[in-house]
Amino acid sequence: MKKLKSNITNMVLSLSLISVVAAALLAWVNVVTNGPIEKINAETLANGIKQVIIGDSDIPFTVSEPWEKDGFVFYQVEDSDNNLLGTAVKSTDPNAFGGNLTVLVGFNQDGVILGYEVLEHAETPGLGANAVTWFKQSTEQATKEQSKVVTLLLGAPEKAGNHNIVGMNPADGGFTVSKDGGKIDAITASTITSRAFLRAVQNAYNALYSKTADGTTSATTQN
Amino acid sequence: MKNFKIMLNGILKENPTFVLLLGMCPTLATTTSAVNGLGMGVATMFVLICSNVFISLLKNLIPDGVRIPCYIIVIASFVTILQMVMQAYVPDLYQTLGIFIPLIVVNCIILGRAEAFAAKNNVLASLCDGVGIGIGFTLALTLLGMVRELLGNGSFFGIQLLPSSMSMLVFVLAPGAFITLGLLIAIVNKIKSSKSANA
Amino acid sequence: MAKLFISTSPHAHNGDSVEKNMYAVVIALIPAFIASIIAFGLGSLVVTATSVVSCMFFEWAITKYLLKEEKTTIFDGSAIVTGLLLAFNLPSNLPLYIIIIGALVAIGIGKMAFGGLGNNPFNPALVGRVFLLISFPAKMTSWPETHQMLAYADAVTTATPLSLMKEALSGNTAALNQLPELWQVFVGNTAGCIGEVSALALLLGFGYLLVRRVITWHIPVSIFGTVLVFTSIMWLVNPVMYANPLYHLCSGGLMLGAIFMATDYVTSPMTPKGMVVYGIGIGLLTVIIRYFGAYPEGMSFAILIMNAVNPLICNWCKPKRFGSVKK
Repeated sequence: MKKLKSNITNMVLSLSLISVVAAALLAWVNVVTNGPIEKINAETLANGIKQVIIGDSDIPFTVSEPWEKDGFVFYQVEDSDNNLLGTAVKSTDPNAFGGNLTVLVGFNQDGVILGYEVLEHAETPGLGANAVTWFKQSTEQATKEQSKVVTLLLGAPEKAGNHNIVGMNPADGGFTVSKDGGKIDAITASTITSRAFLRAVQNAYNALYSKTADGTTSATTQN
Repeated sequence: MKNFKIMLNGILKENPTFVLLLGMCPTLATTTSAVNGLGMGVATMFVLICSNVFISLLKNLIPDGVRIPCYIIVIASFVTILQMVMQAYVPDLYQTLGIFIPLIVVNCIILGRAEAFAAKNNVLASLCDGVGIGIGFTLALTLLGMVRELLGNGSFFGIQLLPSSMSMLVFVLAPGAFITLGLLIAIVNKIKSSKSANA
Repeated sequence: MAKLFISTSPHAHNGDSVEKNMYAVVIALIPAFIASIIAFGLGSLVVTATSVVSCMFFEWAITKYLLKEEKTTIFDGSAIVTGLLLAFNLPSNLPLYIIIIGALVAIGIGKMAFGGLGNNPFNPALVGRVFLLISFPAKMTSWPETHQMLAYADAVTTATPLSLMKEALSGNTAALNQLPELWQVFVGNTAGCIGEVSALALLLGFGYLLVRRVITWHIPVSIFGTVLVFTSIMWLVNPVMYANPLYHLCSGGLMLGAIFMATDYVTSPMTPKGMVVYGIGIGLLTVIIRYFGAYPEGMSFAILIMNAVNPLICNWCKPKRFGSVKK
């Protein structure tokens, strides 16, 4: 076949033809993949909520319709017998080192933290970005004594620190970094990120158990 | 034999990353780990092979006056297909590569091969060129990703070899990409020049 | 008849050499080194020795085995100065392997990759330091308290005046009250990098360099002036949030950078006019990074950025050719 000449009819025809074929192809792929994509998006959110409430164990659960209040988003998680397992709260602090820090925190009925996931952040890698795992586990004292030469060459072993917030209850007080008189050790060299993170968790707690005038707390439930 | 030579040409003599220095944006941005580099390389290779084959098939149907828009439509369609398929079946990789999947459309390697090779050669040769350049790109990205992951995170394809607190974070950030690429090109040139001196 | 030599200019030479200038810089750095030993003790000695030795080693290894040059350049003093300046930009409790990596980057990537002394667009010591700062952010930003003479990696760390000022900027204005007295900051009794601790010692070195005419006043003074003016304006606007301008002048790497690193011949402009433009640029960028950037200190980034702009400044501030007429 000879190459088509570049006159206007040929150009319009060939461009339209290619566009139509491409559009048809894309439409078909879209129909095929639409289902799996939606399923995966829903699974990602459900998985995050499951992680912060139930953790890795495999018990059946249902997530309620989310509701919103003052910028916080709440998801209630129940087991198969409709017992409340806990509530996941999405909370954002705007004053982290790199701007917004969004966390999803799970609380049980008493306000004890069951787990958390950092959903969105713009913290410095190696410093503030460590918030993703830092507050899940404390650093234990190294059991083996390190020789002086190794320390000189490779640096001191990580210092023991208490920064596991899972199992803590913000109502007990001291829910700030140790530099500000609290019980939690900040991420190494990232006090601002640590403060923002703890503020986001504290605010999530306050929003969930919104404080009433006489100082008692009452759980916010879906109305 | 001739087609095999075309394929080899893309991997070695005209390696898109180390020799032609094309497609630098995904090369630098996505190679934070070996797996990401490999993923990006394979994704680009898929689009490159498909677009090369189809453009070579359609080359007589496309008038010269509208060839660039036609190429772009073909390329963009394949990229969109790839994006949807990846989102549906490999969501993790899709998350990490993020914006760079749609940006494959403007990767100059693909349009460059369409214009420089596929539009002038038959289907089989274009297929071989796509495979060759694609493999060359994938190898380069994987190598870059391997070096950056090893130095920047202390791991090799996700297997932790050194504690990550001991490794050089700069290599997984943007400046490390430039430094690593520069050093790798220097090494490739060194090997090439010593080879040509011997021959 | 005597032979007539034909050569290009310059024809007069005052006997100046790379070695002479480099060793003058080394001498000028001695007061700062003494101040650092008084402040940080053993750590300062170990870090400085490691840095200088490894810089010289890499200089020797690269010229001998990679470039295969006959004559190595380890004793022209430039590797020693790079090693000293790199060490002076590090905290005194840094593990040795990090210092060695820094020396390799400073010499290998910062200098030799561009063709050795005289061809490097960026100050090698700063390339090494910024590489380390980005690579090991936690270790590079933990500063030992002063007067722990024998402590090394186990030294107790504390906040620097600059990190306190940064904290005040992010809303915690009480941090400004924790600043040590200005006099202490000036003589060098605060946490910080090894060489930047004492503004007084650095100014002594500045005086020596001026007297020996190794550098001119233009770059350091225009940096000091810009920083002083900029921070004074902010201070007058809101003294609760912004610290006293004199703290800005005396703390962090400002003095060290302005006197010893911004004035590096290779990477700074050659004409007085260009030097002033270059100095103002560094001063502005430093304060902008200190106030609005992610890091508490911006001196090294400011110098590197202005290093990159240097060719443009040189081009713009070219002196007029003698006798040329404006068209």
